[in-house]
Amino acid sequence: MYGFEALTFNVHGGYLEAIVRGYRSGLLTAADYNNLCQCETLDDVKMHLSATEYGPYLQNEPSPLHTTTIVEKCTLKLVDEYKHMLCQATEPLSTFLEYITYGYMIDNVVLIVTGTLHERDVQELLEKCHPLGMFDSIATLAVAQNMRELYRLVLVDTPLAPYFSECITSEDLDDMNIEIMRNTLYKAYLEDFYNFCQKLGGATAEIMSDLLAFEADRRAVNITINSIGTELTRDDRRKLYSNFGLLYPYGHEELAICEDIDQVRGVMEKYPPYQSIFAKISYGESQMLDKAFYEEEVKRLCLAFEQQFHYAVFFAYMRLSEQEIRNLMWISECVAQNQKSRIHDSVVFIF
Amino acid sequence: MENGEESFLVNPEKLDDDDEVLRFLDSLDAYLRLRDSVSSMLRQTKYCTVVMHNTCQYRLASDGDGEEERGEEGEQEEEVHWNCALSGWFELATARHSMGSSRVSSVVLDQKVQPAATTLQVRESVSGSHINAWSSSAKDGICSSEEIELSSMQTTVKDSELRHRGTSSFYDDMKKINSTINLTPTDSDSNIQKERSKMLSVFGTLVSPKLRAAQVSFETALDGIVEIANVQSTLLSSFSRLQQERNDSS
Repeated sequence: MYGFEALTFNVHGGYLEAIVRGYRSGLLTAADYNNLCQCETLDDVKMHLSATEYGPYLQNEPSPLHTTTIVEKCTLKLVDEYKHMLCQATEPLSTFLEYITYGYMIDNVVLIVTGTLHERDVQELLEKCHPLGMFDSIATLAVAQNMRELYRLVLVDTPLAPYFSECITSEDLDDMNIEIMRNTLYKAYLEDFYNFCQKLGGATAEIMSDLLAFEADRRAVNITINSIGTELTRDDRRKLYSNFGLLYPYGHEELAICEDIDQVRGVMEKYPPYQSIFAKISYGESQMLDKAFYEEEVKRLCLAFEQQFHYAVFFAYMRLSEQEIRNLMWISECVAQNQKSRIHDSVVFIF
Repeated sequence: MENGEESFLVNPEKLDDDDEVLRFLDSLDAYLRLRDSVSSMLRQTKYCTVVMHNTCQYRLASDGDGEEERGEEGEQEEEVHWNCALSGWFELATARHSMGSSRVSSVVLDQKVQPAATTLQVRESVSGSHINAWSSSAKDGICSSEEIELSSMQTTVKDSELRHRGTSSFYDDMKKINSTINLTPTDSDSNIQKERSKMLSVFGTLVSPKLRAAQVSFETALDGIVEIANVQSTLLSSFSRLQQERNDSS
C-alpha cells in the first residue's frame, strides 16, 4: 500500500539506502569542478581528484596520463560501489539493480558484434566493454554471422534473451541491421524495466515512471536527429521509439516525419516539460541540445533523493555517477586539447 | 619632355624582376595564410598565434603602416581563435561526449582492406609539382571521375592591383564548397554524402551530428594540407627563379 513503506522498507532496504545516500554525498561539488576547470594539464586533474573519492583509483597511474585512463579508473569506482550494493541486496532490490546493467550489456553486445564485423581483435574489444555489462559468454559473440545465431549461441542464456523476439532474423549482420538491433533491444529493455517498476508500485513506481519516461523521450529525440539524412525510413524510425513516455503516441507520429532539427523543435515545444529545454538552444542548432537534456535529467535525478523508502535512489545514483564521469571526461579532453574556454559548454553541475 | 617620357617608361627587365618578386611574396602570403587555416582546423592554438604574429611583423616592416596593420592583426587573430574553436579534434571529443567513449574510439575502426575516401595525384607542371585530391565513389572501390582542383582556389593577384592582406579566405571557400556539396542534388554530391556516411558507419549508422561535423573538419584540413603543398611548390619554384635571375643579373 503506497504511503506505508516507512513501516517495512528498512527491514531489507534500509542499510543499502543509507549506503547509496553516503555515496551520493561523495559526488563532486561545484567547488571541485571549479578547481578542475583551472587545471593546465592532466596531471593537475589527477592531483585535484586525489582529494576526492577517485583518489585511490588514480594514485598509482603513471604520467603521462590519458583521457581514456581517467575515464576507465573513474568507472572502476562506480563498478565497485555497484557490486557492493548488489551483493548486499535481497529481492526485489537485487533484480532492480540488475535491470540497471542491462543497458550496458546491450552496448557491449553491439560493440563486440560491430568490431567483429570490421575484423577487430576480440580481446581489444573486450577491453573496451563496460565492466557493468559483462557476462560469461560475451566473447562467443564474435562467431555469430546473423541475429539468429547471435541469439541461439549466446544471448539465449542472458537476461537480454526476452528482448530479442523482435530482432530475430536470418539476415546477415551489417551496420544498419546492427544499429536497428541496438535500438530495438534498448526499446524492449526500457519497456520491460518500466513494467517491472510498475509492478513494484509505491514511490518506486511513481518516481521511476517519470525517470524512464524522460529517458524514452530523450532517446526518441536523439534517434530522430541522428537519423536525419540517413537511409533509415520513417517506418523504421517509428518502430524504434518506445511505447511509453510523454511523447507516446502522438509526439512519436510527428517525430517520425521530421526532416530537420527545427521540425523536431516544433514537435517538442508542444510539450511543456520540454519547452524549457528547447528554449535554451537557438534555431537550427543542435550542439547544446545534449547539455540541455543532461541538465534536465540531473534535476529529476536529484529530486529522487528528496523522498525516502524507494528504489529509485539507486537508479538515480548510478545515472548521476555516469554524468559525473562524463563531466570528468569532458574536462580532461578540454585540458588535454588546450580548450579550457569550452569547458563550460558541456559540464553539468550536479549540486 | 623626352626625359620625362623616359622616366615614365618602365624598364622591361626591371618589370620582370618585379613580377618575380611579386609572385614570390604572394606565394609566401598565400602559404602562410593556408598554414594558419590548417593549423586552426587541427587545433594548434600556439602555432597559429606565432605564425600570425610573424606575418604581421613582416607586413609592418615592409609597409611601415602601423595603425591599419594593428587593426588587421586584431581581426585576423579573432578569426584564428574562432577557427581554432571549430577544430576537428575538439569536435571529435564532443562527439565522444555525446555518443559515449565505447562508440567513438579507435577500437571500432575498420581493419578490412578498403579504398581510401580521398587519393592524391602528383602532377608535374612548369611551375613545379601540384597535387590534385580525388574523392572516391562508393561503387566497387573504384575512384570516380570527380576531381577537386584545389590549386585553382588560390587567390590570383593581378599585377596592377595593390596586394591586400585580407582575412584567410581558404576556410570560407571550403565552407562554400561543402555547403554547395550539401545543397546541390547532383549524382557526384550524393556519392560524396554516401561515401561520408559509409566512412562513419564504423561508429554506427545513427551517429551524432557532432561526429559528422568532425568528419567535415578533418576533410577540410586534408584539403588545406594539399593546398599548402601546392603553394609551397609554387613558392619554392618562384624563389629558385628569383635567385637564378639575380645570379644572372649580377
